[in-house]
Amino acid sequence: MPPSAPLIELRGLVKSFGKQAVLRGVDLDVLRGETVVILGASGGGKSVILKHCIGLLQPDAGEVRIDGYVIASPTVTDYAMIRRRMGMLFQGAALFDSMSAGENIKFAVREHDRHLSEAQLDNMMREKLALVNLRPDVATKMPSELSGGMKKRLGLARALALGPQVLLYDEPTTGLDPVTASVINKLILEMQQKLGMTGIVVTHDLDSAFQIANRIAFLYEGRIIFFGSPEEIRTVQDPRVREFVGG
Amino acid sequence: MARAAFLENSGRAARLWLAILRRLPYAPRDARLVVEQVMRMGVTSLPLVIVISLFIGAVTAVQVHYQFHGLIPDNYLGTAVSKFVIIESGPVLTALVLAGRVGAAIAAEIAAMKEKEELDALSVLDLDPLRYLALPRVLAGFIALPLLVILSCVFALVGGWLLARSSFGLTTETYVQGMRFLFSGFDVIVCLIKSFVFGGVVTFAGFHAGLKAGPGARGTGQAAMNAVVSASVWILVLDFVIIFLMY
Repeated sequence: MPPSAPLIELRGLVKSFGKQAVLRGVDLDVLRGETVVILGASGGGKSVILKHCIGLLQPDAGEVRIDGYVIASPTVTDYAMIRRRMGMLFQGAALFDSMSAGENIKFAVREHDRHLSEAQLDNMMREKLALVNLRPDVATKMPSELSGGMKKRLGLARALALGPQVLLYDEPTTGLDPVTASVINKLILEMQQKLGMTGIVVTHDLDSAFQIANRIAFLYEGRIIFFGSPEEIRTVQDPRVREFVGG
Repeated sequence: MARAAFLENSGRAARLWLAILRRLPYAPRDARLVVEQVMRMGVTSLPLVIVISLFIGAVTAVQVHYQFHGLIPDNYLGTAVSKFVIIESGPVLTALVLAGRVGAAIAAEIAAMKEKEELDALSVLDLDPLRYLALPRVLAGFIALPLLVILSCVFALVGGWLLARSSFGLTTETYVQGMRFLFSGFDVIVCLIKSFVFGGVVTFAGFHAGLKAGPGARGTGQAAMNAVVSASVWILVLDFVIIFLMY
């Protein structure tokens, strides 16, 4: 596979919930190592796209390919192989409340490789905490004791635990103050620059999108109506996009 | 319409039962999770079960004395109490208490996890929610309820003895002789079969209700209520079926 070939390909993705059509044929290519931001109005189906990429939802029609392999289509149901290559940061972090911060990071790794010693798991956990700029003493705290920004960073550390190649971010800065949101944006950039991570970010936060995106896709009424660089979206003439971008 | 909803719900429940049972081979590997749940359900329910059982035994003794006084000798009071406690009140009332305590708690916990995307987070980490959440809870129900029912029967018999001795002047020897008269090992087997079945029903109803919970606090409350209602109905229906088949 040449380096410029898309790592993630969405082809004609269609999804309805009951009578409500959410995706009406989404096409999108994400290149290896780039960060693509999907912009669009709230409730427009951005998170639905993300959930298709990691097999949490099955499309009614169309398919998702990762590295050329079909991982989501109306007939594919086995996502085990792809999930170990992908991580996801949820909007509310989705931390396991009954576990300490450290255990949140170690849990999946321990379950997938029971030969690892506790010392090895602790080292891995400290390394992931450092990657997201969290101090090691956070490990003993329960999720309820952490601030919103710390929860997001811990959620990111947990997503990194299985060593993914692709990170999916669902509204990573929603509900955070501007300073903490900027910290999260920097972390997303670091994931790309330090670890070469491919990323798809779903957001309606324009500042965040312009800071972190290599390319921006604009979702409107279930279709991608614009896909280009941050510079291009600022100058685009389509009124549906201009209204959102505020040009 | 209601009939279609009932059939759809029953079909979904049956599929969930099968899906959980298919994961049984993981049980030895996840024994730690099962033991954790048994402790959580069993140990924490113990004080409530003991108090309720003591009073059930005492109430049974009062009723038997009131209904049959003058018709049959008081020597048979122990017989009636032990028969009723072992065959009926021990397994059924303990299961109903557990439906309110454990079933509702499981439903609320799973509903909250669903709301906070913790179930999706497990899937994204390639950890099967049915294996890690449903199987340990349902297996723990199968184990914990028979243990609690055995204790419940013992404390109900003690409650009956305390009442018979203090209020009706029965000696311990007479009460014990009455208990031993007509005692049948088969009754104990029926009692254990019932408790085993009810244990699975209570925990499964909790998990199922939690899984299909609606959004928000209202959805969580509704899930807890559904778990209790569904478990209670199934306990009484299956109680009849087992008694009908076994006697």
